Amino acid sequence: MSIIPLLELNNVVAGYGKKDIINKISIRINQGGIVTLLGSNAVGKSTILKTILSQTCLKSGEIKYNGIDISNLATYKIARLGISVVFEGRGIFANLTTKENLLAGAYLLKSKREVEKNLNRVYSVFPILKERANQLAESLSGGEQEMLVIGRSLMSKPNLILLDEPSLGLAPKLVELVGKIIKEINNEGISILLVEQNAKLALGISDYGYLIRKGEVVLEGNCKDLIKNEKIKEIYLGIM
Amino acid sequence: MSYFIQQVLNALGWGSVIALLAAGYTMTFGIIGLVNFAYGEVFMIGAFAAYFAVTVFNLPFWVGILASLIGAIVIGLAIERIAFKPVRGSGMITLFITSLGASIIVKNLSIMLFDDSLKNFKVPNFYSGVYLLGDIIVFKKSILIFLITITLGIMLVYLVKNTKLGIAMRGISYDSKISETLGVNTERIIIITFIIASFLGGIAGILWGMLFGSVKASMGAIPVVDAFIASVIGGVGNVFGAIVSGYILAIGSSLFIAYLPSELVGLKPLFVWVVFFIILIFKPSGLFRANIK
Repeated sequence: MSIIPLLELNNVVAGYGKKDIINKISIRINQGGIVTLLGSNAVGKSTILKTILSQTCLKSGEIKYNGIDISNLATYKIARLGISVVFEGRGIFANLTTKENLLAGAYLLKSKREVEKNLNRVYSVFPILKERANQLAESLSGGEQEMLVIGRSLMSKPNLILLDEPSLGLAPKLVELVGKIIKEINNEGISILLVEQNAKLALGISDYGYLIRKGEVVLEGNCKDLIKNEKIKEIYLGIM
Repeated sequence: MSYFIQQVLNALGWGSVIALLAAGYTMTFGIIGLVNFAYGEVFMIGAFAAYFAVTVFNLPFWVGILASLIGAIVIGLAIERIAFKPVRGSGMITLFITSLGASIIVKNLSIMLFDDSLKNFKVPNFYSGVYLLGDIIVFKKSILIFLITITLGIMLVYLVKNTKLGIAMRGISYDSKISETLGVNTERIIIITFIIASFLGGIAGILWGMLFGSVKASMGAIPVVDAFIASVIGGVGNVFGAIVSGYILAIGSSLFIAYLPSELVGLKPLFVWVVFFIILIFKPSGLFRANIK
């Protein structure tokens, strides 16, 4: 019996206006997996995430979530299906406090008890956020803001989190911590689609990977094999 | 001292009208970056709906309140759907021109239909009368208008600060794309915001009628400018700031006139603009924290 992937992109072509950024991309994520999209800057990795969220122009192909076609579905409806996102550059609401940012992540929850439970859960994973609960989010450090947006993405108990460059701009110790947290989140059953330039982090924690170049998948495979791949070593010289 | 207190009390009614309009103004300004000059017409239509219900058709005052709210919300939503929605995301200049155009159309249509003469606004006897505190005269209607405004203000600040809807509004003010990824239907929230702002405009329209005993088709022009200034001074998107700034401007204007030599009384309109420019120079983000990127 074949397993329906949690998320699949089939021959997706998308971009902004007349310009195509991604060309015939096909990707699959199974329930409970961590899949990584590797590649250097400006190859279309973030565009893939934004296309999933209907924030770009989908020209052709299809996107399915749990077997349902979500191509061109409104972004807020996609979120309501159980997909959360952590944007590159964090995407905090700087005008809200730490706690208000987290509560914004719980917008879809109806029960106050559930909101409180999830908030306490996030505080247990990120104790610093509880300390900074009443501080404006813009006053947090870069690492704390990253924790905040990851925490916010957990508030609605999603099935799938799209993580866009979570290690960007972070010190090595914090990068390690982010990697640990991603694994912990995945261990709770949440699937992850990770976009990263940091190959060591991404391949170290992911199950499956796709190497993106100029908007196309040029290589894919289990991360254990990708780590040994000469092409990966060649492209990421000095990082591996 | 009693002269000073008298001027402050005299300004409470006008301050309340401006505070409500500024609160409604700043909500739409904050959430979609719209400088809504047509908001003065929402306020005017609200006042006229109450005028027709109470003064022309002799209906009970509570029917006038209902008519005002319905009238203001209908016109506010109509302007949003017809004039603003098609150009949303087009940039501030386009939105500014559109709102100016909507204001001119609604105002001139109203002048055509109702002419621009002062219409007597019937106020129930209950609201008339004064209290005397030594030398100080306190108008019953001013106190009532002030209490209504403060009650609404507290409810509004609570809504914005402590509810899911309020957090969604403030999130959209900052970044609507991120809000959508959290499951927020931004279109629905924008409509709700316009309904609340129009509701406030309608209430302000009735309070104006109660305060001055009259309405006219061009009555929205000056209050909407004062509301705009109060919303900027208060910090764009900050409802509490807008309400406080509305009172500051009204009380400031009242004191300014009171202590100005009689030959200079014509300078009255300058006060709000002088305060506006001083705030813009020394604290451009406003007296309170703005709620936008």
